[in-house]
Amino acid sequence: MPAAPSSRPFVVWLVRAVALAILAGLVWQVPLVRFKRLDEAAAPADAFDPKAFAERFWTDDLGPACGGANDVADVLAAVRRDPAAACRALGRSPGLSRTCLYLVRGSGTIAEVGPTACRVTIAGGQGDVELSMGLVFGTAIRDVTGTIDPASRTDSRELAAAAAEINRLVQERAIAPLKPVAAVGRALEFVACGQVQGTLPADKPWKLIPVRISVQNTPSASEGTAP
Amino acid sequence: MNRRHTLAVLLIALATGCSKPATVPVKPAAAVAATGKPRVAVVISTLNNPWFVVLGETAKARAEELGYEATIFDSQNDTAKEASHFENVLAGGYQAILFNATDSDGSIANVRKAKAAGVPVFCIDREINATDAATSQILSDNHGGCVALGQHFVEALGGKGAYVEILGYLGDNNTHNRSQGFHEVVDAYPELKMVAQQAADFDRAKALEVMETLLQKHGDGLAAVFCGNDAMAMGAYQALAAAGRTDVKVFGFDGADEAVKLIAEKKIAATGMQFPKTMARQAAEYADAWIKGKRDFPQKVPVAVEVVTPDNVTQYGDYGAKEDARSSATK
Repeated sequence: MPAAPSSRPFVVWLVRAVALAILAGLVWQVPLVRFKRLDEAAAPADAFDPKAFAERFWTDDLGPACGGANDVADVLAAVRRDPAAACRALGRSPGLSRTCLYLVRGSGTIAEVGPTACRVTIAGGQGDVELSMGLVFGTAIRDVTGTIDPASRTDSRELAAAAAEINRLVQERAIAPLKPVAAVGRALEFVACGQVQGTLPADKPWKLIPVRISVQNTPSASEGTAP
Repeated sequence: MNRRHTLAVLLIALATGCSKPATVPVKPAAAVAATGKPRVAVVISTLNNPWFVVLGETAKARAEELGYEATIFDSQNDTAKEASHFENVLAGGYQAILFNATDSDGSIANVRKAKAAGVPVFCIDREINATDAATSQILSDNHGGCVALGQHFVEALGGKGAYVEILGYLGDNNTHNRSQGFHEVVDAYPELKMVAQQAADFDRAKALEVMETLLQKHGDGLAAVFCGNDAMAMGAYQALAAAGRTDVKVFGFDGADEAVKLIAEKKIAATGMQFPKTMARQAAEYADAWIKGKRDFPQKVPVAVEVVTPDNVTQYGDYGAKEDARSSATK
């Protein structure tokens, strides 16, 4: 006996609804089109990781280089005598640059504290240097050790990103611990990076970016995380 | 007899026609020009910009000083034209290519083709995204230069104000490196607001048009414009001068002579000096060394960029620094 004509459309509707629900569930689980953010889509699985690169540089390259840094007073004297000879002997110029980079170590007494730098009278004469306490930019720290081959990455934008990460580490591990304890009269030891383009101005202290700092004669002596 | 003949023909066919193609291509015989000098090609992305004209002419002049016949090819910012130049250069038996790429990715195939043909390529100024194709790449530190320029920008604007950015050709790494370096600094100052960013393909005329449009939309309170090269800075300056907006500070990049002169007149705020002559001479000298047998070259040679401002402009001119030991050493 055939089903009652009135119940048939309901069964058809029910079957269709169930089928639609199953299809919707399938599409939800296995979508035909998947939306991704542009930066996610652009990043391949083996993408360069500037943070990991910077951490490795901090530990494997900058740390050992700090151990071999030249005395700041000796470097200042050599640069004032003959900048080209000083660069050849104590610094390095990346590629065809006229700028020379130096990694120096020294100790001294803080003579002045400003919002973005402190002036330090260094031991061994040769006047004052200025240790940056502001934002760090550029490629000086990345390039000062000479351990990064510019050809190690096919795309130079990756090494630019690495430089920014290295600067962030400097900010976090050397400058941040210095800022709150920098006070006139306090003694400190430092390893820092300085640049010389041509000659040093006679009337201004040499500007340095600290990478390792140890501030003394304070109740809570502060020390940056050594690279 | 006929059988032997057939066998011989078959053997010859196997040894020649059916053999695997040679992996080492045969160099064209015409490696020496009619003048009797060996030939060097200078392939430049565009000659529609004085800076690149200086780059190409300097490379050519230095190659000629070193005893070569040098020819300049203009790719007109078109990778297809560039590919065609490479075909002609390789067929013409040139011994080396001094190359300013049109596209960091799109130009790699051309360089690989030259390498496969045994012709060394020395990239100048513009990078290709491969380290196994060119013999050497002599490149401006665009990122570092724009970081320094960004620091000067912040200083000149007192750390606050609205600005627009005019980008170069988007296919070129230099465009991104410059913008990235600039923003690495400027974005750290929240009171500096970028109100628009638009590309003008390193072209002066396009930059003029872009600046005119941007002035209409964002002119009120605009304090500065940062341009990815000096040609665009000049175009932007023209648009601003025509609109009577000499209060808007213009920043360029390249170290073009015209820009340096405008900096001396305090019409443009600053530029990044890229030393095109130093790079071009070095490329020609590398090519000469390669032809004479040297094979170990650094894959990438960075060339630092220096910021030119009204305070130090007297130290610069003629596409470089007035006292440059590198230039005199290579002249």
